[in-house]
Amino acid sequence: MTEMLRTQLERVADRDFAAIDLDAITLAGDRRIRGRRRGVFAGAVVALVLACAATALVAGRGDDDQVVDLPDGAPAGLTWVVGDTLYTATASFDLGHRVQAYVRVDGGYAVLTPDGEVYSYVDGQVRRVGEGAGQTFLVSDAEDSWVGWIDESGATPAFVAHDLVSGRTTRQDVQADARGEEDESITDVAWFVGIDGGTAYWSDLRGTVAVDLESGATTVLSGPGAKRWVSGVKDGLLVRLVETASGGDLGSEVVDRDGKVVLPFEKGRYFGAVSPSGRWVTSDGPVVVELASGKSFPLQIQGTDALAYEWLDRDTVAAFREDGDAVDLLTCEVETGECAVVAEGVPVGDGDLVVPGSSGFYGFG
Amino acid sequence: MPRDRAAFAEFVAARSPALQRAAYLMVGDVGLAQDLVQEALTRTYVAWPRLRDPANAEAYTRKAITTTAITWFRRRSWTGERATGALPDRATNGHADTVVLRQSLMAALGQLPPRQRAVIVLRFYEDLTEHQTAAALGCAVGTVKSQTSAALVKLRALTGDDFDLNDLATGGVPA
Repeated sequence: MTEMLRTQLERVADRDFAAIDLDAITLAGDRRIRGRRRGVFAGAVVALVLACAATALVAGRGDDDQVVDLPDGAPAGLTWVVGDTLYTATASFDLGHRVQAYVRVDGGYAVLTPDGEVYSYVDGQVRRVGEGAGQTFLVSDAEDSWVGWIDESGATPAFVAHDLVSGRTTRQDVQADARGEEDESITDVAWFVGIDGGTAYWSDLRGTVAVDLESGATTVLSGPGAKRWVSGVKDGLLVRLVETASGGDLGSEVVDRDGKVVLPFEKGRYFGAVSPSGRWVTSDGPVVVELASGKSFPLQIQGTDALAYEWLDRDTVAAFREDGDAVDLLTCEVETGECAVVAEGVPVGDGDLVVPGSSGFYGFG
Repeated sequence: MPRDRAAFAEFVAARSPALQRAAYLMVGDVGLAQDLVQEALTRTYVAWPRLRDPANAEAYTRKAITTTAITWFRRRSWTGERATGALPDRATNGHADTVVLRQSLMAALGQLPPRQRAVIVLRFYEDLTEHQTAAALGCAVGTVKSQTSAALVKLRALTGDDFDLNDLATGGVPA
């Protein structure tokens, strides 16, 4: 009988369990939240079901120093990676390396592997350009050729920026702390915010700083006592978190480099990526908010768990929609709100599926 | 609902023991159950602002536990007590009898496919309706019905006379 089975199950389940580690939960959760606010999500793939047929262009495996030749002209538009393969709506490209995270740059992509190596994919070739990346994401400017990461291979973490076209690399480590780990407190954490128009933005012991990558000129935007979590930067606009005194999330706001509020905080509202024109910013809902007017433009995506995560051009944004253990990938035109499904029913699991700007955070949340 | 850490901490304190017990029934291992709940609560913490109503948090966490457990099973080919290939011998009385009954039931649960095991836990331990179970599993109500029926048939075959499960597969299950 039902009661019989229930009683037996209750007896079986009557075990001693360790106390839940609340600090570990909030630490891991905050890390994912910051990642997602970069336009992040990830999940594992059991099988991939695409809305359209993909044509495999297999280029073969590349070891660390091997150049992997791919067709000239990196794919544009909506892309995603499963394992070591980059997909578009019509083709797939074997990158030769498992992808932890990747970002779009002008004319190509930069890829981070799970063991901290950084590869470029430009001019039809995949080449290693760095190593020792300790955090689980890269930063870039989709309209420029710089990519950035934090190198944690040494005693002190260093902020590294590499120009994928010129091959030039800059490195700064004097102001970073000795840990570089994400923590509840931002005070002493090294955190690479982003790259925008040839300027790198990061948090170090000086506070939040802007560094001109050509000249090295550095501007302290906010001192160490006023540091805030900044999730992204574009067109001189920073998306930053608004927290309670105890570190609880309240929402986010958009400010300019001088700290002037461009789009004010509202309780429970979070912003994501600023568009290339600086006109729009993505938000929960999913909606896109016009910065000048504060007006919300809803995206026509059915379902409650949807998020716009990457700008494909000035007015077109990529979005995903969660449905149980799967996601659909879409492109949406902001002004009309119309969306089109590009990849349908991509199963979610433990980190094989990656989209630009994202990293392999387990769990969709 | 903002990400109110105090409210989340209150939720964790109130509900984590029950969630751990349910997770244990799903995976059959205390350590794995704790990892599962830790992961599910992390997801809940991330989703906290959009859960709107704290009452939704438990349903959300339960779904995260269920789907994650099934994913882990599939990914790791985790087989729990299935490795023995046989149920323990039955004892005759007293504490030893209770222990063996527990082992017997866990061994039987461990031989069910992941989704069937989850259905048993959700329907008969968590006391969810078919609709609630379908929501937790992300499947249709009809799937819950068929999975429940199949699971009970298999449980009955596996446990033999240890448990009186006969009525469960033939109408004793509340909708």
